[in-house]
Amino acid sequence: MGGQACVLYGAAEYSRDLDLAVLATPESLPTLTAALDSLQATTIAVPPFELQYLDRGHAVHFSVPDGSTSPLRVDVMSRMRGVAEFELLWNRRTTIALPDSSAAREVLVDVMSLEDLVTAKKTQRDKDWPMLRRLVDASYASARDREATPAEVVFWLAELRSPPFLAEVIARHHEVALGSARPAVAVLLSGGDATQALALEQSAEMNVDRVYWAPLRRELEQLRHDARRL
Amino acid sequence: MSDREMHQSVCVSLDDLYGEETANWMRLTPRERWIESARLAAWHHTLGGTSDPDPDPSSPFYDPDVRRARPVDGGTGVRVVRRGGV
Repeated sequence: MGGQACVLYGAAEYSRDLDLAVLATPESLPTLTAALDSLQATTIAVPPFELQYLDRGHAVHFSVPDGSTSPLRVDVMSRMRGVAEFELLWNRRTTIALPDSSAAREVLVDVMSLEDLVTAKKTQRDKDWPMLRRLVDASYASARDREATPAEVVFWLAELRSPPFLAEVIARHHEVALGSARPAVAVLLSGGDATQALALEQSAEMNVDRVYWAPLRRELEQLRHDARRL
Repeated sequence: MSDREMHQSVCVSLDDLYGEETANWMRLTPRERWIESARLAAWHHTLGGTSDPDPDPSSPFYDPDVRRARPVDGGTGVRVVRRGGV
């Protein structure tokens, strides 16, 4: 998930870090620990790499030496606001064959599905929203010259954030659009400008994310405070 | 003019929304983007860039007290590259 997934889906050119969604259970944690140990990964900042923090929705940050002067940053999460449980994420993941670093062979990379990635990107961070817009626009643009599936139409009507593309989907799938509860769709159906409705939608999501993170942020601040006293 | 032709005549393209360069990137296959992105990463490191995330006060992970690597040019990281006429 994260920036590398956005690269693969066409919304980003480059990401400095690697974000991993993991299954964090008492049974799976030793395997995850062994994998991180094999990479010589060390935790940075807070929280510590413990099940209780992953379970509460925290991200655990690692530094992984990769032979260059700057180690690779790896962030691990097991729960994200509004995003399905790991088992469902895994079942609907996208698997992509990519060349390995030597380009001598291919490796299969599992990436969060586009729909789940879009949900995960609805955060309080300003930088996620242009990315989210590009993710859905790239999806629509790649499929606009063929027959869309009903699931794609529902997804685009719910998630497109570029008014011209959203208006186009509404025009092409008018009957489905009439059933949408999204205010931006209603505005476009009535011939209006959806810019304000989309801005309100974004602002509401960012506020929900801030509320969700408020207790987690307090916990992080306390952990930082405790760490500095040591 | 048929419905399809009429639609195509008013169709907004990725180039219209994002400009040609970004639109071309979005049209690449995942494999092509992966390869090009790896080249960009190598270039970033060649120029002395790090993998540290940019400070982002809007992120819940942001710690204002964390020490970050200084830019390789020793500058503050914020500089005026172009001035307007006002």
